[in-house]
Amino acid sequence: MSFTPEQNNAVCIEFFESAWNEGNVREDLLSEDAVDHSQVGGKTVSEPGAGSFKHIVGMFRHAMPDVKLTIEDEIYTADKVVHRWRLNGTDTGGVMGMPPSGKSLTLTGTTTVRLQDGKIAERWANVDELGLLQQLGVVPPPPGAPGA
Amino acid sequence: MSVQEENKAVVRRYWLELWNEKRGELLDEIAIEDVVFHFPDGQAHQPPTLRKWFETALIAFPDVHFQLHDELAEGDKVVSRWSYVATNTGEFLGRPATHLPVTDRGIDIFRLENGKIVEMWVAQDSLGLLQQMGVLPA
Repeated sequence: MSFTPEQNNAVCIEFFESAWNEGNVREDLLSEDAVDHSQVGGKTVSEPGAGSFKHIVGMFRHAMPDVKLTIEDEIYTADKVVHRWRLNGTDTGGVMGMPPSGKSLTLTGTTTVRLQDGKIAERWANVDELGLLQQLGVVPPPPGAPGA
Repeated sequence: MSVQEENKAVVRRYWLELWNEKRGELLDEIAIEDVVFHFPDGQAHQPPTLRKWFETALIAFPDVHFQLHDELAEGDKVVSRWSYVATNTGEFLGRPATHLPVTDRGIDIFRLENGKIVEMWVAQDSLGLLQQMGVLPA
């Protein structure tokens, strides 16, 4: 069975929207040995399975129960899908062990996905963690940045 | 050759010839003067132009070397997944050289018009970079 790039993109949209907006990590859309190569939160080991992603989604949905994913760009060809995305939410639960700030927060990132047989097999994500820490006032904005 | 393959070739020159071979004279060939940048808010270095970016990055990290791990093209866009290794032997963000080795990885989206880069969306790990340079605690 072969899947078109459009079908692959639809799988990714369903997977990420369901995870972030509803807290439901759809393991039926992941291949059994799916690997997440992203280094969010200082993670350096890429273990197969849904564990690390469930942890990240759970952590951010606890911090921002109203979190909403917006996919701002979708680029797909052959077995790859790239999403440029943004998460918006209100920090009522506390991010990364910090007390709740009550602030409206934005987290942006870009994710590349490789699909196999209509399921997510590999993911690489870059997330603007420094931008999030700046919004929380933990680190100052960079020189030359808007508002700096 | 399709437009997508041509665009991929331009972006490959951006990484391998401009950045790795430090051939600043290629800028006019592969990009317009006023490339529109979209940086993450937390990007440590947000230069106003690609030329300025190239110049200031090479002061801070003159030995920077990129590796291209993935490239794909659709429509007028090209996506590169990359990593680099470099040594901070010059001033960066107003701070003196640390002489520390640094590495980073990211995914950049390029939009091209008439065979030139006109717009870029950058996603890299500035938090990790600043931690490696000792600017922020790890």
